[in-house]
Amino acid sequence: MKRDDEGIAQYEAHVGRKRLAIVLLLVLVALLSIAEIFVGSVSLTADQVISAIMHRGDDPFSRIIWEQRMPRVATAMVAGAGLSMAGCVMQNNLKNPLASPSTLGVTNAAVFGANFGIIILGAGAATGAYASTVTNPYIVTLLAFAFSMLTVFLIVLLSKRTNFSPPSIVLAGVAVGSIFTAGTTILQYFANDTALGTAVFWSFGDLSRVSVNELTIITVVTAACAVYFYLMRWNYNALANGDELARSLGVDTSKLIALGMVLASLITAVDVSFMGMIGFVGLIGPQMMRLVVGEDHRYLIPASMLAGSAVMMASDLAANIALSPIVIPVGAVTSLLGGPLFLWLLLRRRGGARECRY
Amino acid sequence: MSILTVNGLSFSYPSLDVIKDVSFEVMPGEVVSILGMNGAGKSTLLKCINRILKMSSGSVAVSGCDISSLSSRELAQKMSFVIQGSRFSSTSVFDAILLGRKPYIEWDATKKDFEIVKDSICRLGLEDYALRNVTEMSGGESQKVALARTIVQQTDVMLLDEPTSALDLKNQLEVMNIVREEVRRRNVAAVVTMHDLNLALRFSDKFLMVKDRRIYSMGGIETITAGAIKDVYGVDAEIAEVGGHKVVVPL
Ligand SMILES: Nc1ncnc2c1ncn2[C@@H]1O[C@H](COP(=O)(O)OP(=O)(O)OP(=O)(O)O)[C@@H](O)[C@H]1O
Ligand SMILES: [Mg+2]
Repeated sequence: MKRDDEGIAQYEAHVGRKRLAIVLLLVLVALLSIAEIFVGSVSLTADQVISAIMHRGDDPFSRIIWEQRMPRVATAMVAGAGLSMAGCVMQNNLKNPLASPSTLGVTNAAVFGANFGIIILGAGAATGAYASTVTNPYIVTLLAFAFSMLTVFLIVLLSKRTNFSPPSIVLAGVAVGSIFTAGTTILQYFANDTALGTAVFWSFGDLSRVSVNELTIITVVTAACAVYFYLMRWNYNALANGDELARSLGVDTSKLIALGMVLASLITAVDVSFMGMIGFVGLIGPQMMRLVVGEDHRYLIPASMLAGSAVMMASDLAANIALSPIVIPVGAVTSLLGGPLFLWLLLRRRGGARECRY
Repeated sequence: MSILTVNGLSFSYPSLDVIKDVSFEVMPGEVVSILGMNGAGKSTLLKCINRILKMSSGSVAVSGCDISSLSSRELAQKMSFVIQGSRFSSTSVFDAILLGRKPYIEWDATKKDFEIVKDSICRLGLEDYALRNVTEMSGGESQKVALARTIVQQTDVMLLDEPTSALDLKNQLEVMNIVREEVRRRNVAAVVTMHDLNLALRFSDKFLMVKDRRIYSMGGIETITAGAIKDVYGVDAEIAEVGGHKVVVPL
């Protein structure tokens, strides 16, 4: 770095590259949403899509675009961003690069909560020969939230009380997750046909079932959390250097960590209860972005959100195209992508000295 | 008036009393070193002063303000801390130092913050590393980064926990010179723990020796005697004068 004013210009250029990465991600998300609009059981030409977007009418194309595809694209975008942001905050707050809603068992807990609502409290009903829906989504969401909070509380307690290393915390997460999965299985075993149908159908992570009202809730929760997380970006940067340093820089660490974990699990619960189980987006998004923009939360938070959106939309595209005309649940695709990545991360951690600081 | 007042400070970990009834004062413009054996409680004392650990009794005041009456942010504007063996997250050296401006940042870092960071980078001779990743620095280089972060925090009291332990001879002198110069220039104070007695002797105005969880002695260079070294470290030593500097020579 130069000693004169140019030194600061050099720094700004260095930061500018991170901004550029964010702009490129924005372009990618835009391109993916265009691609997403075209994908579905009915093929549409560009003209049809454009005219349907320009004039919202009662014709079938218009309805497909406005009632099916646009909500699906928006859901992919918002839910992907939310899950990825939740993973980013969890990783930083627990100082654990392997943390994410799915690796900590939070997703499984939310699934259990939702199943409990559907099966025991009867919040589900059949709506046709094959499909069944959740009739009281708010009870389901509340229960999903309650159980994910319980899990987060357990995980935070474990990582505070014991000197658990990051992989051990994840093992604890796996253990907690499998307890909840077993619970879910038991619930489903004793469920009646309707409830079982709803519960099983519900468990496939799927974007297309999200109603406009639910999309609004997901969006409001995600946006509110995004604003809070972004406001805390300097605090998270301080926290990334250890609790003691953060405190010496004036950060109230306990409050910061607790609130961050609560909000991250709220996002998870809302997403899971409206869409079903969608794994690993919260791990993939921030992990990729750590490599690109580093651990500076001024850029890591927005970059993770965009990366999450991109991963979710790309997965949804793959889910629609791979076995067309059959549509695979998007949750299966994200897990297919995320599982190997998670393994790779575990293997990579063994060698790299740089990773020891976690 | 003293810039740092510690009054009757005690602290214990659940299973261990670490500090008992410690009191001392530091004046503006002073560099004070804390000396004592490993495990004597030096780091713990600094953490209590900086409210990272909650003291069980006693009080601490910076520039006349009791620290219990300050918000975390206000405290961070008055007191900074170099942690023994700092760890860094994966950012550039510039960003790692910029974090020292955190207590002043409202919405985002400004040009003025960048200027302050750049100046400290130049003072510590870190120009060549400024945009490199801080996790790729050597132990000594990272200690300089940690010190630079403390300097940009512009506080009344700097608490430095072994800021020179990983530095080579040249950098030890350079870094301690910078600390002393900063203290004199802004008329603030530094409280430094060190294991290198000769470095401490050369750069400190006062010495606080800690033994058996209490203060053994506090005062100017005259308090560092062969008897004091024997009592605190259990080592026979001779105090000699070489080239106008007092030095401790273990026998
Ligand atoms: N978190 C902790 N829990 C319990 N005991 C602790 C803890 N941290 C430190 N101690 C103990 O408190 C005592 C003082 O530790 P401290 O770190 O303050 O020593 P120190 O004087 O800084 O030593 P060094 O010169 O090695 O840095 C030691 O006996 C240490 O084992
Ligand atoms: Mg120490």
